[in-house]
Amino acid sequence: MLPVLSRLFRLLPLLTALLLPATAAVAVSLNVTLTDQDGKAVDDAVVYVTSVNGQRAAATPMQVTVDQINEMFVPHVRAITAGSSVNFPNSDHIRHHVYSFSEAKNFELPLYIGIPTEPVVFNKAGVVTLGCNIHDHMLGYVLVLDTPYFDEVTGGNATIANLPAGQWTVEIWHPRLADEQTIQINVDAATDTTLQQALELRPERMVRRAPRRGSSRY
Amino acid sequence: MNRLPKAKGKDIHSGSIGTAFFYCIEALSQAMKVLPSFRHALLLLIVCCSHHAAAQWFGNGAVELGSNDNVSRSPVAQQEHSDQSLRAGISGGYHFQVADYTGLTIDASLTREQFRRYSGLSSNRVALGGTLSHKFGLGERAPIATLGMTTERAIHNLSLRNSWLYLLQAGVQQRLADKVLLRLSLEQQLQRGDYNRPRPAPAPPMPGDVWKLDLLVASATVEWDTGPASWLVAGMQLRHGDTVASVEPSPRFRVQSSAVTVDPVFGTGIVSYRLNANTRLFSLDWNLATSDRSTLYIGAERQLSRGGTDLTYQAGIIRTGFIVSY
Repeated sequence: MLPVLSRLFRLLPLLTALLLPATAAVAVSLNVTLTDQDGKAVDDAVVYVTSVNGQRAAATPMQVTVDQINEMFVPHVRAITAGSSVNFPNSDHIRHHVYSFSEAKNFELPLYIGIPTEPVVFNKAGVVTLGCNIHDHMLGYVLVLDTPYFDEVTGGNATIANLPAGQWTVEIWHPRLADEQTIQINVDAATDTTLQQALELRPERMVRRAPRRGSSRY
Repeated sequence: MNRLPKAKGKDIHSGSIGTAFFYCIEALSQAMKVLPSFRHALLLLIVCCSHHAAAQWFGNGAVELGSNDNVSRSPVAQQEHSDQSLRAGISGGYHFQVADYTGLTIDASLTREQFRRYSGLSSNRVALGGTLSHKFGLGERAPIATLGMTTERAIHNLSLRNSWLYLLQAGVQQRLADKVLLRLSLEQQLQRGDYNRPRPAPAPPMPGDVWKLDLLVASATVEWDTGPASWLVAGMQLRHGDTVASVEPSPRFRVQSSAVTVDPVFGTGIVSYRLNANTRLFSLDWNLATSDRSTLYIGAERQLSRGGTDLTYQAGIIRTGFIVSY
């Protein structure tokens, strides 16, 4: 009996290593701060991370909302994973006619007010540009991603949590970004990673909504 | 001789709010008499009003400073009169999106234009109009056709020039590229002046209804975005029909005109002739969006007109203005 127990104790570490599930790599956070060329905090941007070796982590579909308030899409930019569905409620007191011609998603929500009966599902990764057929100045974006590691920038800050240690490619998207921003980082297993980036943004376009001499808005 | 019409014992160009409201109703009444289809537009308005979720109100305010080097449209260079004016106005209305691609806009406006030298030209204008628009497809590149009607009442400081103006307009616009928008329109203008004063003796009698004008206007404008907050508008108009030129009495003008009357706006001894003319108008305006709801602009316009058989006049206008919208 004693020799058997003794042998068991000696094998215990090996048994533990075999029976217990492999310990997951330590996950840390990537904290990103974005400013524009004037030093002001950037909004309406998306930061997302992809693996350097092309491996893709499974992305869970989401259910999100893009509202229409005061003849604007709110939020102006929405990031989702492929396979997610987006509701487009119209909180204005007037009807809108939402559409997109983008390759990633071509769809139309004919004139409506309130909440449409069915959300729109976005299966293909890419940038989807939203418009309203009545109000030409209305513009919005849905960024459909293949990675679960992303965050929408608010007040210049974004945090991607539970990022495994290793080498990653950080990509920054903004509708007015003059040049594509791609940064290679090495995420340490022990500590959170911080990244600060200045972006060169094109000026905001106001021409479409501004009034014309002698013309009505419609 | 026609008498000045009176409203409750007061002169009709008193410029009060009550007078403006009176002329709004009068404009509606006149429009329904002259343009029967206005009744249909009004019926459509009532139907649309029953569904408030389809209606969106809008409002605009504008002020413009302008200078015209030949405000009298004189074909005689020595008799050209120049003047500057300040125009201020408000407008507003409702837009009804009656179907996916069709909208109806009803709007009213009130404008005051004050001339610096020739105050008789100064006026209050009240207008009421409606425009039906249809978009042929989805997206910003789809063409849009419009059909509109406007009735306007103009009350001048010199009541001789008071008139009703009726406009019927058909147009089409299309965004040709991300930064280029083209607008084409055809407009029929009917102006009906209040007074018909006899021609001064001793010449043979001629009609005195100088401000009874019929005009056909074809317009083309191109908008070009020069930056995220600025754009240029280049325009051309061809105007065929009646125009009014104010000069000293002349047999050369009399034989080529269809009506004449004494017009003291530009001083004593001046008459206004109604001529049939072809006018080419070229304009260029640069616009700056000071916010997404306000615009500052500066521009210039050149008018080249040929009336009768050999009467030509030119006029140059420069202007600057500011518009806000709600």
